[in-house]
Amino acid sequence: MDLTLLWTIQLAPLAVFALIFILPKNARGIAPLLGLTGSAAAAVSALCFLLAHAGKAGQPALHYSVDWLTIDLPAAWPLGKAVSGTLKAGFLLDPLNLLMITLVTVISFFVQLFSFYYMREDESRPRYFAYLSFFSFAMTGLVLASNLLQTFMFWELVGLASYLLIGFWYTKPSAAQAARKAFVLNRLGDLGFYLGIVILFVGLGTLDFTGLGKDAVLSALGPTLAMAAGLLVLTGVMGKSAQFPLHIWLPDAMEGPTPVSALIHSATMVAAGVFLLVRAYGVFSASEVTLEVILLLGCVTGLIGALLATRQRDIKKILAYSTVSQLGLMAAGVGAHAPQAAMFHLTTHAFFKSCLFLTSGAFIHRFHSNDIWTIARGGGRKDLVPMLTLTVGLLSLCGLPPLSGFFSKDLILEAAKHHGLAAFAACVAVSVLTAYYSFRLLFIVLFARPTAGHGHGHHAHGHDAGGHHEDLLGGLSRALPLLLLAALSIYAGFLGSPMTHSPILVWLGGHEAHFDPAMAVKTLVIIAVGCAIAFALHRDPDASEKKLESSKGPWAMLVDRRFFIDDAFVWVTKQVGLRIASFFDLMDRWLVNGVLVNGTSYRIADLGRLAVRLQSGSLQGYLACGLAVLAVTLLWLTGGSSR
Amino acid sequence: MSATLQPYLLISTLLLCLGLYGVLTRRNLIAVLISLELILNSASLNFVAFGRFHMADPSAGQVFAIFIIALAAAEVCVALSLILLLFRQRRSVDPASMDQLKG
Amino acid sequence: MNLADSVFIGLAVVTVLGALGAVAFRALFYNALSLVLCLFGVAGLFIYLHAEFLAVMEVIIYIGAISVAIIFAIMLSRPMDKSDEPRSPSASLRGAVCAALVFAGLWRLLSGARWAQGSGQLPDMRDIGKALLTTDVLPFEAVSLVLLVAIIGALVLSSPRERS
Repeated sequence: MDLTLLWTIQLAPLAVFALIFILPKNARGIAPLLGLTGSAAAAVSALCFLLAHAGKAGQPALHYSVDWLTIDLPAAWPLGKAVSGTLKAGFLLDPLNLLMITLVTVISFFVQLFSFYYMREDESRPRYFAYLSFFSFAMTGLVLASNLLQTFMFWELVGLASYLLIGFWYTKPSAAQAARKAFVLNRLGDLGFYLGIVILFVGLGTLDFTGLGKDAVLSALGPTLAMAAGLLVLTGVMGKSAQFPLHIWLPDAMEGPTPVSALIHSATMVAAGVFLLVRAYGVFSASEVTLEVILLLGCVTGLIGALLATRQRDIKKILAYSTVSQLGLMAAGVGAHAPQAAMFHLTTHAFFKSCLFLTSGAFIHRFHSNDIWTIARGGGRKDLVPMLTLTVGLLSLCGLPPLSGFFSKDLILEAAKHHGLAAFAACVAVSVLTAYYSFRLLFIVLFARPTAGHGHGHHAHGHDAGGHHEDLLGGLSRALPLLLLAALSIYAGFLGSPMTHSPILVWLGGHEAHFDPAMAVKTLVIIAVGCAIAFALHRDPDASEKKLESSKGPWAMLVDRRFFIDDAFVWVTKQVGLRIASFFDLMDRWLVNGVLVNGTSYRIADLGRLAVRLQSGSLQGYLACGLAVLAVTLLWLTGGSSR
Repeated sequence: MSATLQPYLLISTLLLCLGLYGVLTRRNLIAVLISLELILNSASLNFVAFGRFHMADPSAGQVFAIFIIALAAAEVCVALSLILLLFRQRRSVDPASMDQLKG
Repeated sequence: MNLADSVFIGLAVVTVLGALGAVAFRALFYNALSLVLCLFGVAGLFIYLHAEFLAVMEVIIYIGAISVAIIFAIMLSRPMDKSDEPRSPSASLRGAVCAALVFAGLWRLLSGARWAQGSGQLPDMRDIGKALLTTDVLPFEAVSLVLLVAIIGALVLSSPRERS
């Protein structure tokens, strides 16, 4: 039964993906329905699973696997030691990925539902739903994988799906470029990931997560190699989870359709890195240095993301940078020895951030603009359902009790506080900034006066398209996911709250959270400070817009140029990458093509020219050759016999 | 001296090599034919000499030599008529000019 | 050194010099005459090998028929005293090297070889005649056929009608 459910979760999206591509042209219209069915099947299976197994802490993990490759290498260069081990393929199901798989399939279902509304005018809808299903397949594969290599393979497929969906509107140059950027940066990280896998396999002879405990890694690799392996795998995480300095692809990835941003670039795929951090926690915790690096990266990423989010006009960019900073917080949680807290924050973040993204999608679809001032003046606050979910999502993001963000972020803050002052300070700063940009967004949308021209134009447009858009099905598929996700983002917090004895943390193997009044007060103060600053600056959205446009100080420039990180990448590529490339270009032209390929052909042509001189057509020449050969052979043979 | 094989072998080998030199270098087919006669003679000299000194059947060497002489006569007969034909057609009997078959 | 040996040496020298002249002179007619000289030497050597019949055959067929035919052909094809075209030095060198190599190889082979012991009997003409009509009758007939074909072929090739 369990296995059947697992296969359903794994293969239903793949089947949908394949099915959509073989659909006849005139039946392409049912592609959204197919996508919905597939994701619903996966979500229901995952929920069945969750209900059957949830809450039973201490239960042994379900492990189905078959041997795939047995590797038995003799000791040889460059390893110097014999390598033997078995690569397996299979499912490993423990509380950690049971939680994750539920998250992935449920949010995937909601996003497919919302896409039904969001993409209804798009010509290439079937392709969209096919890609989305393909992503679901890859993501479930990643989550269910029983070993690191299998994870890596699905990790790459997820990257492919992300690439395809970011560049979904591939005729738009910016989208194509963003897709390439994401792909290249992810490959950069995955190179390290792969090397880490190789080191682990050579050292341990297994890649099963069950065999990758802290002690096993330490005893097999020794402290230095364990650190190297951990850091290498970490580069993969940095690519996928947009950690500094590889985070720069994530904001650009917002070129994709908004539901894609909700599913892939906020809730699930980018969280896969954090998931891996928790999943292979043994590898990272084998070395204290690795954990410190993770903590440092997390704090830096969190700060950079939050700072950049404060000066964006584009609602999706705000949310994207917010995602970057929240991912930084999660990584910091792992680095501060609190993987359960990070996982809990991942869960709550997935719900409220996908809710926020879908909300932004609802706004964008209605007001045909990503700009928050345009949305606000167009009458965004009158759009009740999105306004409600926006408020809930943003407050949850700030961590206002009793919304879910409060409980999960609190746990991370607490872990950071236990770890050290610097980390705590960074996390607090991130939280203040988060509160600031959340309330900034909220205030601008709330307080903006609808301008006559704008309001009228959009109103008319709304009416015009209204009959077309807002039929029952469209309205339902617009509102339902938003409201359900908002509800979930309220509810999810209680899974980890002290009042309910934090079942999720216990289940994941952590200990129960304790209510700390001081901490709660601190959180409230943080939110109040952020809110106050936001209120002071953005009470009047028109003025704040003018101020944003006119500010030209060094700080504004620094933020607008994204701290020059993109420029640094370009510089490094030009200075180092191009040099290396031109070296190889020269090698290729001169050595490979010139000497080896052409050289061989020229020498053979020379031989041919020599042979041509033999073929003179002159009988006497031929005879002379034959005789010379005969004589030399004779001399050679008699020389041999006389010895 | 004339009762051992060695001097005959030396003479016949010299004849052979002179004949080969002629075949390889002469620019007239008749001269080539003359050189060929030298080669044939070296062969028949060898046969007779071996028959004289180192063969169980004393007449075998001479019989072979007779065959060689007969075949040489036939060869010269055909070769000369071919050469004359060539000369009538092309006004040249230089073997170096006979390279029509060259690709 | 007795008389027989000095005559033998003289014959050998005549043979080799004749052969040299047959390839070395540039005038074709001198080549033919040198060949005749060489063939005489070979006939003399045959006598030393107790093959008198062959010596006679050599003189009659080779000198009397073949050489004369060659001289006729020379006279038919070109003015008698006209020299051959000069040989190119590279071709001469090539021929000389090839010939020298062959000589070196053969001589090394021959001087290192050990031959079967012969019977030591001296053949006479009677034995040859018997052999030709008994043991070697098949090759004998074949050779006569070849001669016949050669004669007919020569006639056909040189008949004037063929030209048109």
